Amino acid sequence: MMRKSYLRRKPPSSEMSLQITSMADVFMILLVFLLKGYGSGVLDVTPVSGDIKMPASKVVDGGKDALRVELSSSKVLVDGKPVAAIQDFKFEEDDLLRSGGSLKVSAALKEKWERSGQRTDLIVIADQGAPYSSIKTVLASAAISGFTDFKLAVVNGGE
Amino acid sequence: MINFQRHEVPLDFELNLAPVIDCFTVLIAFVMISTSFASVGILDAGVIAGGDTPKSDSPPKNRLSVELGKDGMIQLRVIGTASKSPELKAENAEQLQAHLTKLKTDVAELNDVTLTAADSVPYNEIVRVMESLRGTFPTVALGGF
Repeated sequence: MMRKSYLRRKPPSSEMSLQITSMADVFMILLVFLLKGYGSGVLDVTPVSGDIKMPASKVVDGGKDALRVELSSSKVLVDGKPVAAIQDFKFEEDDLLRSGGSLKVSAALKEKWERSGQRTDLIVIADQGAPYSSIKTVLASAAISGFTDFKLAVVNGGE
Repeated sequence: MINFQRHEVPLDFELNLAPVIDCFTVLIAFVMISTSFASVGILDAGVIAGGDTPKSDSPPKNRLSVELGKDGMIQLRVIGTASKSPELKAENAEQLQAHLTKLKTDVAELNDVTLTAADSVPYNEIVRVMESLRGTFPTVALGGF
């Protein structure tokens, strides 16, 4: 016959022990990759507009912090803020200047140029299907506004 | 002797989070590694437009003009003292590269390239041609303004 134990068993603890070791590993890996990304500066060139697919290129220069102009099929953004609405990469007729630039885009870029202390560098983030006419409009708008150093954002890799 | 006593199995259990966190750690690491290969880069491009102050007092002796047609045909023309060089045409990247190498060798002081394209040429084609030009000429400017 089995003897019944009269010893009091320790009740299970209701406190949850926090496993810090694994969480420390997770945060360390996150920290390493974030430092790597911010150090190279390429994280600053992520397009705000979600409908932009950038072209790929093998020849790529280093990342740089500069004013960004994004060109998608439906809008133009300057530093993340929409400044002009377009349709299928085509600017409105009354928005185009004789010099080939866009009135709205050049006005927004001019304001940014003056605020930034007349910095002349600009990054153009355009969809890979954008026609050259639209690219010219954006670049002409930037040239009118005082920008002279143009950089094109591409995806590192190429065919 | 057969024991008919019922043994009650305790239902309380402790959730061990360590393996779960380790799995998420590995997943995060792989996602980070995969996104690092799709990093965004910058391609330097000048523009032959506007600009009040030229970079140098004297214009370049020779300049190469590359025109990208809407049918994919690429025309190369030398402008300057060596403008008597015949116009060259390229249908693909290999022909373009061959022409560029020959021009760089044959034409003296040919360092500047201006890339122009038809209005309907898509942006990725322009970047592709710029990529080919950058292999031979360090400075490529966009024209057609």
